[in-house]
Amino acid sequence: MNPTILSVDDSSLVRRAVSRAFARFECTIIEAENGEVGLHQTRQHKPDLIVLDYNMPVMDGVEMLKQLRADESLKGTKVIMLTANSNPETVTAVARLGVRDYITKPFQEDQLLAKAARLVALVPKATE
Amino acid sequence: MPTPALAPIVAAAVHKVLSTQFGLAAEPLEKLPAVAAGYAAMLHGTVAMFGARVYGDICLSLPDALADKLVAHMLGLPDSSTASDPDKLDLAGEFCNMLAGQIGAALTGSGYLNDLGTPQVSRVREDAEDAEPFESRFEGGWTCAGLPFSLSLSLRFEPHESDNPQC
Repeated sequence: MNPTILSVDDSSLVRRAVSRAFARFECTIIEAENGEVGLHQTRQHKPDLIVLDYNMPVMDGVEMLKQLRADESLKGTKVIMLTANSNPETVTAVARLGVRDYITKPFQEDQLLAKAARLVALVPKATE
Repeated sequence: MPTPALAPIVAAAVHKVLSTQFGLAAEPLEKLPAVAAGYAAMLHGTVAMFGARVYGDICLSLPDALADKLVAHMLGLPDSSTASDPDKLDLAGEFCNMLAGQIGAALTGSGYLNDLGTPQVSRVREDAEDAEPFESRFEGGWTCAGLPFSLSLSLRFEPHESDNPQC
C-alpha cells in the first residue's frame, strides 16, 4: 500500500515544495497549515509520515507532537521536523517526543527524500 | 566574550539559503539598494529573535520581480513565471525565516542561544520603534539574478557574566 505523507507548515510554498519532492513517488500527499489542522488531518487520514514545521501560528509543531504522542492510536506516527529553528533545546525537546529526523531549512529535495525513504517505502512512479 | 561580527554571518546565511533552496547566487552591493522609488511595492519580511543574551529583529526587503523569480525556483516553475500576491508575501516571510534560522544557528554557535518568532510580512514597512538602543546593527544589500534585496539586523547582545568579572 502506498504511504500517505502529511506536510504541516504555515508556508504554502514550503508545503508545495514538499509535495513536489514526493510527487514522483507512489504516495498520497496531504497538507495542513498549522498544528491544529495537522492533528485533524492525522486523525482523519492516519498518515505514515508527517513532515512538520516548528514555528506556526494557532498551534506550533511541538504542541502538535505532544498531542500526537498523547493519543494512543496516533502516538507511533513517524515524524520528520523541517524547520528553520536549530536551537539545541528545541532539537532535544522534539527528540524526546520521538521525532525520527530533523532537517534545517533551507533544504534540498534529495535530503528530504533520503530521510523519508528510511521511514517509509518510496516507490518511483512508472514512467509513461 | 566579544559581540559576534555580523557581516560574515549574514554573508554565509545569504549564500547558503539562496544556493540550497533556490539554486541561485548573490553578489554583495557596495551601497544599499535604493528603495525610495516604489517603496510601497517592496515586500518585507521580519523575524524576531529572542534569547537571554541576544534579541531583536531581522528584516528583509525585496522587490516583486525577485519574489517572482524565487517562487519559480523554489517550485521548479519556468523562470518567467509570475507569482500570486499571497505567494510573494509567503516567499518574503519564508526567505527571511530561512536567513534568520542560519543567522540564529551561527549566533548559537557563538554562545548566544536564541529562538525565532513566526515570520511577519507586509508590503509597507512599519516605522521601527527605536526605544531601545540596539548596540549591533547590520545592513547589507545584494543582487540576485540582477535584482536587488536588502537585509537589516537590529540586535542587542547581553554580555556573559564571565565577560565582566568585577560584577
